Amino acid sequence: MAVTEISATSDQTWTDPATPAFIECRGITKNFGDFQAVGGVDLKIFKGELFALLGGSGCGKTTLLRMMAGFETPTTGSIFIDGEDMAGIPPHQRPCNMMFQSYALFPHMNVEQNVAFGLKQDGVPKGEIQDRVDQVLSLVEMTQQKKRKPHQLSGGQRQRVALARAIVKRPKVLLLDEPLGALDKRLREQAQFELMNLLDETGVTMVMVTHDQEEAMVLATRIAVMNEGLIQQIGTPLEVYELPATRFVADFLGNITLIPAKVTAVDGAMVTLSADGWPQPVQVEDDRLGVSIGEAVSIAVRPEKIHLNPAEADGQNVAQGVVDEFAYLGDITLYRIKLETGLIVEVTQANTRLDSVRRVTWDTGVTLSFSPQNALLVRG
Amino acid sequence: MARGSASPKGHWRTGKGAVTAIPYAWLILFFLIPFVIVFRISLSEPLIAQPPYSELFGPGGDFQGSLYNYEIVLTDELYLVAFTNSLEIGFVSTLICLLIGYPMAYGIARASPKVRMILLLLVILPFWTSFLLRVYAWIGLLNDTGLVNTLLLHAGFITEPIRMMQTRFSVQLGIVYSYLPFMILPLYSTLERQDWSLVEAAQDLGCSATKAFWTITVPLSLPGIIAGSMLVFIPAVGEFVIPALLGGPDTLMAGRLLWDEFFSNRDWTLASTIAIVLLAILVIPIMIFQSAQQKDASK
Repeated sequence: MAVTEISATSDQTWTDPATPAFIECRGITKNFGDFQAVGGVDLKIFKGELFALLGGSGCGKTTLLRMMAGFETPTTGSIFIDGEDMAGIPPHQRPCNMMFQSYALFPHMNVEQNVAFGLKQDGVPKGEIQDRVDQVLSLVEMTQQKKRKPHQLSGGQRQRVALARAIVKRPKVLLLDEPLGALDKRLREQAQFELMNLLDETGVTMVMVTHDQEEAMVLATRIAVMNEGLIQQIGTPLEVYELPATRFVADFLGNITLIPAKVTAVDGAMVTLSADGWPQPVQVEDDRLGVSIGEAVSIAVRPEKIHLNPAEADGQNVAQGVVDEFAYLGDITLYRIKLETGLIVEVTQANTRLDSVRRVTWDTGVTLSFSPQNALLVRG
Repeated sequence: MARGSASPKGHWRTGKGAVTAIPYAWLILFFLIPFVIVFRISLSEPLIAQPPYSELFGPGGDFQGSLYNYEIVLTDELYLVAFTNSLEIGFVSTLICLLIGYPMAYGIARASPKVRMILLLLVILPFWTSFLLRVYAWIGLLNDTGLVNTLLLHAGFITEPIRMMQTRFSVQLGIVYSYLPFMILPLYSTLERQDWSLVEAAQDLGCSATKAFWTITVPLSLPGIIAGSMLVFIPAVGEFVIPALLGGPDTLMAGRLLWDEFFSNRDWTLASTIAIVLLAILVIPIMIFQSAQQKDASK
């Protein structure tokens, strides 16, 4: 895999305010009758990014993608791709190609004809079509199956053909609607890495819609988390996971314990709170919200950032509880610890040592602690 | 079926055999046996007797049937004209039904589910009234003194009535009107099942909406087009009621001729021959088509 300038971490174009946006959404709304699917989205996506729109079903992510492709018209707002206003431009004249969730392979054409379809529409000379189709089919390793019809292919093969068909025209933007959604888990992992390789080889800007946070985290340079037609947060996988802007984002990505609390003291970044169900005052080092004394917020702690039975409880954010439930997942074990007050706290522990596994079981008394730096405050 | 045929006893015990036997029994009883009888009559000579045709085997057991009737039907101009008329009218009616039916079926399939049910109901609604009555109603519309001519005369568009009844136009119109639902319903069912994202994918890959329709929607609805066309063409070719009520002497069709031979001339043998020839004309092309398709599919 050739690591080029478009890999996930090496080129953070979005941090430079001088970079022009490659895809820009300005004040996009979309109503279907009384229902507002998208409610005011402003978004900048930069060249070479793999941008993920992440959210549950009905959050408006697919509608937003379809507006970029031209299948839906925004009720208000405009979309620019490479500086060009897309208003009134039909799908077949847009510089983007889409990979459909169902793959939408033409059942009456074989693999080769499916891939060649787009080039044929553009009137590319026959010889060149053949060359480009062969090239892209070898890229997705489907050369041997090129005479097969879609119904003769496995799910993974169909996904690769769909991808080949979408990239063969070398679009400026590749739109992916749940690209791996129809694959089973094992195939999906493999396909994720294939997709990333392809990204590196083609360098096309991609916008992906997914409800699967793992898919978004693995593939995307940045993620926009959406809920009820609005973008909740835009950030790198690291940012949205570790520094969720809202309670929704915190809750949507991964496991998290959210404890309602009231601010009792603020000292610089260090906030002291009285939390519902936590025996002592809790200290959290998080100045993002700029909270004031008396304000009601939620303390958010990821399960892997809580220590279980620490060697030395140094007095910071410590509580006692018993194991209410646990789930052994092989690499890690997830515990649900019930505090005396009834509050349930989720904790995970990496099973790094064979002899420590299974020592903690139901009704075992445990001590929990987390450091102020490892907790966050979210509103709502 | 493969498992069933491996153990015929189990095949019968599980009732699978009985289930498959029902359609076979039906076909033998109501298609094969009548067909054999009709074919047998077509080989005889007409007699003024009861039954009105000669025995196929003489007293000594010698075969005395002949293909004489077929010779008449296939050489006499009257019959040839009737068959050509039937095929022509059937073909044109099928084409017109397709041209009207396809947009209608497409529209219904693309409508919202609520509207779709209403539209489908409207397509089927005419079946609630007797077929004969509906064809008869056209006479009242198309007559020289009918509704259309009266309105046009009163409005001053024409000075004397347009002759519409007992023409090829009226027969064609009657057939198209009667058989349109049989074109729409199979077309609707293939179009409704079609994955709309395929058309979107075609547009995404550079097809205009019109081109996507011709390269994706139409080829994929071919099964519906074939089914609808057969459902219209086959009964239209053999149609008797519509040419009898709306047609005239220059729209002689095979069905009408068959009726005349059978009931007016009491020539059962010639009527049977016409029936067999009509069947052959309709079935043989379908069989060729089917075997060609099977060869194509197995390739």
